[in-house]
Amino acid sequence: MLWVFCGSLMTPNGAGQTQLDSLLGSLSDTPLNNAVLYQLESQPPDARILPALRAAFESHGDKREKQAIAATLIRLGEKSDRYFEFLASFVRQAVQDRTPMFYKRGGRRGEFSPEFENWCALNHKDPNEVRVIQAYVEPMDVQALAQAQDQRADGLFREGLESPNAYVVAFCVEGLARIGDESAIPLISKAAERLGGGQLIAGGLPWYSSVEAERLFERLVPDQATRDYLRRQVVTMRSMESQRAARRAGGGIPK
Amino acid sequence: MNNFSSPPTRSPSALERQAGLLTFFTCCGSDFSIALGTPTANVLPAQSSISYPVTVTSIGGWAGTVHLSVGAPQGSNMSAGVTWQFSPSSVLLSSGGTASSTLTLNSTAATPGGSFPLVLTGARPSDNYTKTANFSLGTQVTTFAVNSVTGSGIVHNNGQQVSITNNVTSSNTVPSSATTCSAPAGSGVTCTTSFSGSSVILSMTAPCGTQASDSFTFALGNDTTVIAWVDASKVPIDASQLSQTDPVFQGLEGSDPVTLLPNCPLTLAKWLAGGEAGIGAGTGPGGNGFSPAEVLFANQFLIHNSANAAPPSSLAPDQSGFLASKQFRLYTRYQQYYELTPQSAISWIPNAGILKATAVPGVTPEPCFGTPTQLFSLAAEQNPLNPQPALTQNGYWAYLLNQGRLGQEGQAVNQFLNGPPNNPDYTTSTPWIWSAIQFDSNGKTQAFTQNTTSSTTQNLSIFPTYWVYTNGYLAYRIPQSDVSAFIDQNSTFQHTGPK
Repeated sequence: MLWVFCGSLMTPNGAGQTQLDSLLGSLSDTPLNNAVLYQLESQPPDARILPALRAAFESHGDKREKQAIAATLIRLGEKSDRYFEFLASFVRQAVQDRTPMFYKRGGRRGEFSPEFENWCALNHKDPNEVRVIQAYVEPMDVQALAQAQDQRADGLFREGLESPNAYVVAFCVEGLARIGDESAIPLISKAAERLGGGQLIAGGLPWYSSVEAERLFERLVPDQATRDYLRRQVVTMRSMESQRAARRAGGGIPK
Repeated sequence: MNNFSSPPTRSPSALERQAGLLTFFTCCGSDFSIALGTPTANVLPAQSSISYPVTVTSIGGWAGTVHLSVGAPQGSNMSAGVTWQFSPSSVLLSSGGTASSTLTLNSTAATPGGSFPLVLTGARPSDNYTKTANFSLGTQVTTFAVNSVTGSGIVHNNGQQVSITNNVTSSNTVPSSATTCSAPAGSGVTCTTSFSGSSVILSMTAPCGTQASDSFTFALGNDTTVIAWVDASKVPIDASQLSQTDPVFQGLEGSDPVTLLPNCPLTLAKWLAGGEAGIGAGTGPGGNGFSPAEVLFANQFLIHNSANAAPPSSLAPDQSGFLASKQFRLYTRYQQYYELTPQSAISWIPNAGILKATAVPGVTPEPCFGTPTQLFSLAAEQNPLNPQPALTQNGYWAYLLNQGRLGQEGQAVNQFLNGPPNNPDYTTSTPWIWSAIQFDSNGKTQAFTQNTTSSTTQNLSIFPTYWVYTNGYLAYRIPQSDVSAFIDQNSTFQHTGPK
C-alpha cells in the first residue's frame, strides 16, 4: 500500500499527464508560444520538463524564444551556466553600450539628438534601427534576465545602473529588486539623479519589499495615481508568478 | 503464322512471298530453317514488349544445336532502347524434327515510333554455318491526348514532351489568338489551335500520323489585388475622457518629466511581459486595472500610431515596389484561368493556370515613434488555414485566402489590454484579419464585403481598410469598421475558407 500511496503522490493524474504531454509537445512549435513556458512552470515536478526545455533551447533559433526558455529553465532551478550566460551575454552588450541616446531633450516626438545622428552617420547605421535597439532590444534583453530572478545577475544589474540608456537602467532596477539586492538602492538613487529625475526608472522599485525602496519610489514618483499604477503592475505580475509557483508545488492558488 | 526462313549465307536461295508469308527456302543438303510466327501485337508500344514464336526446322535429316540472335542489318542500328531475348536462346534439333523458342523485344520510353528492319539469325556452332531472316519491327508512336488547357498534352515515345503554351493577355475573355500551341524542335509533332465559340480546340499530329485533339472552355479571372491597411484617419485618438496625468495616458503619450525620454517603449515592454504572463483587461485579479476609457485610449493610440500610409491609386505591373514597402497588413494578389466542365463548374487542376498568386502579411509599424520599422522578429503571423489557390467544395469558386494577425509580441500586448484576465494562453485573444479573392465559374470576381461573423460568403474581415485593385487600378475602397467591434473578437474570429 505504501508503494501505491507514493505512486499517487509522484504521478500526475491522467488529465494532468495529458496536459503535460501536450505542453511538452508544443515546445517544438515554431514560433514558440511563450504561454506554453508559463504553463509548464505551473506543472507539478516531472522528470521530463527540464530535459524537454533544454532540448527546446537547443532547437529553437530565435533569440527571444531562447531567452524565454533560458529564463524558464533558471526559474525552475536549472543551475547550468549555459542558460544564465546566454541571457547575460546580451545584457553585457546592453549595459556596456555607450552609443549616444536617440532622443533629443526637449525635442519633438521622434526627433533625434545631434549626437545620435552624428554617431549613426559615422558608423553608417540607420537611425531608426538603432533607436529600436536602444528603446526595445537592449531593454528587453535586460528584462529577460530580470525575469529569471538569478542572483548571478546582480553585478550586471549594478553595472547597468551606469548606462546612459534609461530604459536599460529601468530594467536593471527591476532586476535588482527582483533578487532583493537592497544594498543597491542607494545606487539606484544615484542613477536617478544622474538621469535627471528618474521617474522613468522607478517602475521596478515596487518589486522590493523594503521601506527604503518605498521611500525612494515616493520620491521619484511624486504622483500618487502613477505610483498606484506602477505598483499594481508589479503586484499583478508577482501574483501571477506566485500562482505558477503554487501550482508547481501542488498547492492551491494563493488568495 | 508468319514464317520466315532464310537461305544459308553460303548458298543464296530464292525468296517468295505467299499469302502474307515470307518463307525462305534452302536448296539442298542437310540444313535447317528458321521461321517467325505471329507476334503478340502488331506494333511495339513504348515501355512495353512484344513476342514472336520462333520455329527451327530440320531439313534433310540434319540434327544439332542452333543458337538464335537478333540484330540490325548491316549499316543500321537497333532502334533506340530496344532489347531482345530468346527463351530458350539455343534449340536442339533432332533429325527431321522442329524446335521452338520465343523472341521477346522490349522497348523503353526512349524508343521512337516507326518501322525498323531487323535480322533474325540462327547459327550452327558446330561449323559456324548461319542462316538469317529479315523482318520489320513496328514501334508505336504513343497515342496522346490534350487533357486540358493547363496540361502539357503530348508525350511522344521518343521521351520528349510537347508543351502547350497558352498566353492569356485579355481579361474575362476566351483567349483566342493569344493561345498558342508548340512542340519541341525535332519531335516531329505538329500542333494547331482553332476556336469555336468559347471553346479552344487543340489538335496534334504525331510523325506516324496519329492524331488527337481536345476542346475546352475556360474562364479567366481579373488580375485582382487586395491590400489591407490601417487607416489612421479612421482611428482618431480621443483622450478627452482622460486627464493629462492619467498613468495610462502618460505611459504612452508622456515622457520623463526631466529627461523628456518617452515612456512609451518601456510601457510596451512591460505590457508585453504582462500579457505573456496572462494579465488581461479588468480591475479584478489578473486584470490590468485599467478603466474602459484607458483601454479605449490605449487601443486608439497603438492602432493610430501603427497605421500604414495610404496605398497608391495604381500599382506597377509587377507590384514589387509596393510589396517591398511593407506598408500594409495583408497583401493578396490573385489571377487564374481554369477549364470549365460541361456543367459550367470549374475543372480544377491544382497549381495549374495560376497567373498571379501572392498572399503575404505585412508588418505592424512601431507605434511609439511612428516610423515604419519592424519592431520584433515576428512582425506578423500567418494563419495556418491559409491555402494555396483552391476550389470550393461545390466547384463554383476558385479562391485565394490570405489571413494574418499581429506577431506574438503584439498578441501579448493585446492580451494585456483586451484579453481575459488570468488567460493561460495569450495567443487566444487576438483576432485575425483576412481577404479572400474569389472568382466564379465565369471568371467574375466575387464582390467584396465585410462581416463580423467570418461567414464563408463574406470575404473581408471588418478590420482594417481594404483597397481592391483590378488589373493594377484601384477599383474599390472598403473602409474599416469601428475598431472596438474588432477588438472585442478573439482568435476564433477567422475565416475558414469559402465553401
